[in-house]
Amino acid sequence: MKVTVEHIPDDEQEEITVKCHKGSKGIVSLLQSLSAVADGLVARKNGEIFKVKLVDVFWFEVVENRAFLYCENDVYECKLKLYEFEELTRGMNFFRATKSTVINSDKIESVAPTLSGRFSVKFINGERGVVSRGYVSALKSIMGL
Amino acid sequence: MDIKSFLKTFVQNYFLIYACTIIATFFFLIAQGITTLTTDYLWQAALFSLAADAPLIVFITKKGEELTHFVLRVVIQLCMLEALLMPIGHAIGMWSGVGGAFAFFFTVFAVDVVMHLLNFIGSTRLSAEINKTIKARRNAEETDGGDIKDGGGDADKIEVISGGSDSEK
Repeated sequence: MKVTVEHIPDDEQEEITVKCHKGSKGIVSLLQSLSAVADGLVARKNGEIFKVKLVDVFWFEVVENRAFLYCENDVYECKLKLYEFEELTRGMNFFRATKSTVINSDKIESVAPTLSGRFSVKFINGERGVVSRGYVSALKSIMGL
Repeated sequence: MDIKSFLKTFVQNYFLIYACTIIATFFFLIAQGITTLTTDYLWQAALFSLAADAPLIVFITKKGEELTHFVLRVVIQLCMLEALLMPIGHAIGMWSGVGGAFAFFFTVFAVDVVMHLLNFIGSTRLSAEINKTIKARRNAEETDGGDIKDGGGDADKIEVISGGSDSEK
């Protein structure tokens, strides 16, 4: 696939034009990701609907079939499935941390091992999470190790 | 760990245990001045390795592992390990007599503890590398003029689009 990037002056609006074959699944997935990055994800909090930018998401978690976006100070509920969120964030600094969570590695302050073989994650807002043993390779990969 | 991780770890550990068993036997034979060993021992060592690996099954869990649960699993695994390896070890001539039984028991115990310690040391090293990478990334962002707290203030970053229903999504 040919990729063309054209630099434009700051005063012009940024624009993406896609030339693709009909029904190209890869392109559809890419467009969904682009849309999520540009516009944000639709999520709810206290009955109100918000748009949450992916860069603001610390981690995504599914609890009892309900999906939540955890940001620095707030938690939003959204309708995405775990695999859908993974698809949207493919190529970004998100990685699967447990069976039910996807973590934004840009928001990690530090990690520490636990005796059980898992890693404890401390986020830059002071919250904590875990990376299961089975997903440590994903953490290593996202860190370029 | 889930079943997929268990199978992966089980296979990896099996070959590791088998190799270590053969190497340990080799050095034991040299120390004892024994120069011959029957080919049956290779199968016996394979069975011994399987028995040493089998207790890993207690770590299969679908839920997250709390530390207390993990410690309980470690204790159960160690009990299973001793219960399986003591009779098998005796049957294939790895130990005999009360002194041999004690020596074998504590060797198995020590090896298991050392393996857990090595795993923890490996994790500690990995976490140090990851933290180093995170720090380097952060320093690079600061050097580039980026704000590492960017994206942090939720209220400023979220645009209310309506107070409507989910169908608007």
